[in-house]
Amino acid sequence: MTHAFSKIALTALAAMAGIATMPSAHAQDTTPVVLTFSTVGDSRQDPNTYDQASVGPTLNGQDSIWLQNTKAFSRILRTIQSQKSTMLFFNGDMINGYGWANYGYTSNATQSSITGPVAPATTADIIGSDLMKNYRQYAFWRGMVAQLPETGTYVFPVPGNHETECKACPKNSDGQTQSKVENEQSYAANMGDLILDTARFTNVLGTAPANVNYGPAAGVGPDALSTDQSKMSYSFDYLNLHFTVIDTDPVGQETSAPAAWLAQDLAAAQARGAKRFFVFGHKPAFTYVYAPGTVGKGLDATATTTAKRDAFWNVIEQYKATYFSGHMHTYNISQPRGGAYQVIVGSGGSPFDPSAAQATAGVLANPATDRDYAWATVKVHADGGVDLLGYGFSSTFGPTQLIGQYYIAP
Amino acid sequence: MRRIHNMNKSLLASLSAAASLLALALPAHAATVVDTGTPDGQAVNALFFDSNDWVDAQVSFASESTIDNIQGHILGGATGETFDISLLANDGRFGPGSVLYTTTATFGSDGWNGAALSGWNVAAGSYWVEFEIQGADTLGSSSVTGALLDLGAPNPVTNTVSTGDGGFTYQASPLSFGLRVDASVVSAVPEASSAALMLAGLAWLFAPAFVRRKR
Repeated sequence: MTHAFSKIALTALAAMAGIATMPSAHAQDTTPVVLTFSTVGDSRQDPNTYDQASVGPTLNGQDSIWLQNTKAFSRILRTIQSQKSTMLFFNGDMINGYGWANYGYTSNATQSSITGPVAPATTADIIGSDLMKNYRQYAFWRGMVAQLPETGTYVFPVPGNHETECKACPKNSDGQTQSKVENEQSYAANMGDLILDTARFTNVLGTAPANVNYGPAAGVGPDALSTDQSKMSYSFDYLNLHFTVIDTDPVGQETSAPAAWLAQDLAAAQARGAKRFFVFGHKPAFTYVYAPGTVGKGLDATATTTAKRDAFWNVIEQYKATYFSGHMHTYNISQPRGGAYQVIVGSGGSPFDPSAAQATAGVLANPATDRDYAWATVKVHADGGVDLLGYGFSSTFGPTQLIGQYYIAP
Repeated sequence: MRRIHNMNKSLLASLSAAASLLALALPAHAATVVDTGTPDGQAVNALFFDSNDWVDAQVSFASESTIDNIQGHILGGATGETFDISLLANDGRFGPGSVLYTTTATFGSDGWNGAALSGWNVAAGSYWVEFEIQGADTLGSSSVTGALLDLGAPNPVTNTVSTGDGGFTYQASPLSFGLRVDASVVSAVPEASSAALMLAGLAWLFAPAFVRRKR
């Protein structure tokens, strides 16, 4: 009897021990979470090369006009809000754009050629112009995110190449698609109110952004950029955290980050006592090779841009910053040099770079997540520890999953 | 002698009552209707379980039953946080149909969490068990990851449904979340073993009288 009782007791104790050592979803940092923010990019749809394996053989009428992946992006927004993220950084390519938002310019349907300047002669000329399409697409995207600041999430825009560059225009000497000042101006006109709306920021986050630093005026600043960057790059402090948004395709310096301005910005923030640095840009610093043969799509596109990239990444590592990007239509979190994290979340709805054919062929580096619509949600703890969480759902719109979990110690 | 006779009478009365109760179809025995086994306990790749999404699993009952207990294998909650468990009718076309029963369950710790149920009576057939976080529920609100439905159960249910595709997505290949359902079968006819036991009792009761009469 006693023996049997002992066996039962031992079994119960073993079971309890098993429960105690079971892998847990709880993070290792038990200090309170002081801020939750999310980040994603690239929700724009492509009128020609949309991902048929995901969205079907034809785009629905709405998305074919306003060029969004409404189904994916709206679901991401819904879930980000359920996660009670108080900030959303959108890492560029909110519109398909890619034309020349200048008077009288019109790209063809595949954006392989552009005509202009031609004064519009008919209503159709106006409606079909790059400028008109540009504003129309911005308006739709703004409508999609309009409710967020009303329900607890401030939206921070980041410029992408589809906002700033003209695809059909001549390439620069390094083979990079060129940005246009009119495109930057259109971006500022359609996004500038968010950069930064102090009253709305305060309403959502309880206190005003501190030490706001706007990018330099045309021809001014350590990177000697030729156009006004005041709405393209910007930074601010919140709590003891520093947030910096950079333009990775400024006119005349396409596919490069304003590394010198960033270095000054982060140095000033550190001098003020900032403990954490989060940097947001469109193009990744390091291309994620999701399959054999993946060509450089980030700031490492050419030898020239790679040299600038190195200077940029040195700054990121110096301040132990975390860099969030889009541009590559996939999800990947890595430590390219073993130190600072690069978070690629260009997976907000645009056609996946890792193709369905590559998935079928079994050549994807991370087949479980390479073709996920995904975003990152970041939780900053009181002690400075950071939980970096990837969430996503499959290209066939399966259930949402936690797809990555990383911890950055204080 | 008279005392023995009286005792036999009272025993007879008791057995008659027992037989009547059996005939009146009382619950027979509790049984596990679904046990997927324990999932892998890993947060990464688990289903994110929030106020937007619900997850259903199809369960079948071979006969009229009373559901005693439903549990899911859940991670990322805090003790005392709540979530909902519902039983839905099976709509042949769409899967989960109308809600038949709902209860609020309380999270304990990472692992099996659910609720003991009362009065959840079902006829034989297919139904859907649903896990959901609704308006007043709090599950996952204080954890880093949010609540997660653990995947990797070794014996997943065959049919599952979850939100996702602007409504729900019917998953032909099952989501392998952990599910346990216990129920008591309600039997209209005494089972063979019960009937045999009753007959044995009656034989034991009447055997002495039969022997005496023979003498």
